[in-house]
Formats: sequence, structure tokens, C-alpha cells
Amino acid sequence: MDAFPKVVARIPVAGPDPFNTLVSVSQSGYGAGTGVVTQRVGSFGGGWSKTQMVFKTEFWLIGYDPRQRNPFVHSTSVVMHHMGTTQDFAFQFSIDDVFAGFDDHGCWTVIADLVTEVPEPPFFGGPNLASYAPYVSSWVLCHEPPLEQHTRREQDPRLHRFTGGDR
Amino acid sequence: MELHANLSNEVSSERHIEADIGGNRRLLVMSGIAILDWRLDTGDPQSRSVRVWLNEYARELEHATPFVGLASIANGESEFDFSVIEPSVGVDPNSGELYLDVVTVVFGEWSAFYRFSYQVVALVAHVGTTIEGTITWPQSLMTPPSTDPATVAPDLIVVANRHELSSGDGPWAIAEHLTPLVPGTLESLTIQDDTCQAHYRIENPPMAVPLKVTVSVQPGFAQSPGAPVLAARISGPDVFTLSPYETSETVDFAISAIFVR
Repeated sequence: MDAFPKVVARIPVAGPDPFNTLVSVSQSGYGAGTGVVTQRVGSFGGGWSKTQMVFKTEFWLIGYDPRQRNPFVHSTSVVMHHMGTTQDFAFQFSIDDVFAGFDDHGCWTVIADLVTEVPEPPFFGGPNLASYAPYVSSWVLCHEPPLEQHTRREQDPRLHRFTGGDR
Repeated sequence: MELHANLSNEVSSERHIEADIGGNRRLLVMSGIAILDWRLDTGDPQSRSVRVWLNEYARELEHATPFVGLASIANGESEFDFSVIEPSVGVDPNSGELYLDVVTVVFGEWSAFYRFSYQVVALVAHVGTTIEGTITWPQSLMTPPSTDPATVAPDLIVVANRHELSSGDGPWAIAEHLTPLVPGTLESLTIQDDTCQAHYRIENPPMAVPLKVTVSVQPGFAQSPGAPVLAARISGPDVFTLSPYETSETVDFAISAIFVR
């Protein structure tokens, strides 16, 4: 079993320009320990809660340069992978809108607009807790440097002596 | 129940991509949040079939994998069940539009199934579309210096437009609206006797959109007061719609001076 789950697949494509790579990334917020949304309602409050979930995936764009435009198009879906409440109460869990793009470091980031409704708990009861975790699936058409460039760098003669080739 | 991916009040966060994977095949990925707004109050499970029209077209669907899940649910402190099951992908035999079918199941006193998310990955055969035709005019209006089509291209603007009709009040109740979509290119030019003829081609205009081809004549053609020079359609349809089963159309034009009294 791999220590790190392989959640990113890169597929070379012929186009359309300027794209040369199709990336598929699928991740569960629950398993990754990130992206789990919990609403806690104590003795006061209750009602609607709007939050924006920012989900950093394990897809990093190779050759990302924040000074330049890094063109991409994507298709992204977010579903509820887990949901639960601590008490028997009325609830609403909603994923209303989904956005995605690269952050300032080239990490593929999915943002979802979430709405949760949890009622106020009884006066002598504990807090009401509701949590849910998203599952994110993105397909991204992007441009990454071809693999040949990296291979050539490894074959640079100035580096050759460090690889044991001269001995 | 039917929903349409191109309508934001029926599908939100709609995104799609199309990748060329070679061998004249395309990989399509389509995602969105389908808006059901289904609220009920029952202790018995209720099911509803939902079809989402995906606004992508293909003549042949090789493979498809649908992925669906819950996006927005609510319950009023009762037992409940929410399911989105049996996803499948198909292609309409008439229009070629892809669709996603699912079955949704709900019970609860009360429960609301507002939305579900979907993502469809489909492998389809690429279907290219074309519009082509000729533009003919007498040399008296313009004599090209050679048979290179580039010499007349600046004076003949060929465009495939989205065609829409709007209704309103009064005697001009119906108005035609044209939105330029895809420009054409001149591929060849012939000069014979007193007549010139250019052959144009428009590559990959969209399917399932009412289209109208227009040719606008620029000042390189002879102009005289009271006699504007215009291009008029002489054969082929005025408005037409392309599909995976009708991928090409031919529309011919003639240019002449229109004398106005």
C-alpha cells in the first residue's frame, strides 16, 4: 500500500491550444483531515451559517509562475462525502456554488459556498454540532513543461560527475 | 423532471472542458449542481427520475462515467433518506445532445432534496462542422489584382451569426438579432469573363444554435451615391441549425449595387 494515495493523474493531450496536459484530481476532505466543515451552536444562536470552504488539493502545477498568466479550464464537482449531527434536530446542509483555480503557489484550490442550518439547543443541553465533509473531483486542462526538458537537465554533463558516471 | 445545463436557474456552477486526445476522439468532462427544489412530507420513500441535458453534442458516444452525489439536503427532525442513484449517460438520437439520467429518492417528515452534484466524463468521436459557399460579383464593382484570395479578404467579411427573433409592441413587433460567433475565411478566388467568384469556409460553427451567414461588403468595392453595394443570399437556407447528423451547410451570395430611387 502506498504511503500517499495517488489522487492526481496527468494525461498528455494534443489540444486544444495552449493546453498539453489534462489533470484529474479527486480527494476527500474527510480522509485528508482538511475541508471538514463543523458548525457548533451553543446556548445562544442557531440558524443559518454561510461559510466558504477552501480546499487545497494535491495537484501542483509544474512550472507555475505567479508573474505570468497560467491558462487553464476546468470542470469541478463537489459532493457531500460525509454528514452527521450530534443530536436529533432539524438541519440543512448545502453546497451552493463551486469555484476553482491556482493559488499564488500553483496549488489547485477548490472553493465551495456552503450553507448550514442548525437550531439552537435546549437550555440545559449541550451544544448542537453538525459536520459534513466534501469530496472534490476536478478535471483541469492546463499547460506544463514537457517531460523531455527535465530529462535533458538530468543529462547535463556538468551534473554527470555527481551521478557516479565518471567513476 | 428535466433540467438544462445551459440554464443557470436549473444547473449552477456548470463547467465543461473538451480535450483532444488524438485519433479524432475527444474527452468531454461536464459538471454542475442540478437544482431540484424538491420538498415533501412523507414517511414513505418517494422517487423521481431526473434528466439533465448537458449542452454538449456527439454523434457517437464511446464510453461515459457519471459521478453523482448529494449537494443540498434538509430535514425537520425526523427519520430521513436521501439518495441519488442509478446514474447513466446517453445521447439523444435526434439532436445528438448528451444527457445524464439519475433517480432521486427522498423520505422524511419533512425533508427537502434541493440539489445534487454531477460530473460526467465522456469519450466521443469528434464531429467537425462547416459552412461553405461562394460569393460572386461583376468586375465592374471590383477587379482583384490577382487570384490570391488575400487581395479581396479585407473587403469581404463573412461571419456565422447566432440568429434570434425578439417580439415587442407595435408594427415592428418582431426584430431580428444577430450575434457574431465564428468568422469565415476566403479559400480561393476565380476571375472569369466579367465575373469574380470567391469561395469561403467557416470552420466549426456551433451545433444546436440557429445560425445565419452574413457577408458585409467593405469600401474596396465601387460605391456610388444612391446605389449601395450589398451581398444577398442567392441559394441555401437563410437560417439553419447544425447537428451531429447535419454537420455542414452551403450558402451562396451575390454582390450587386442596389439602386434606390
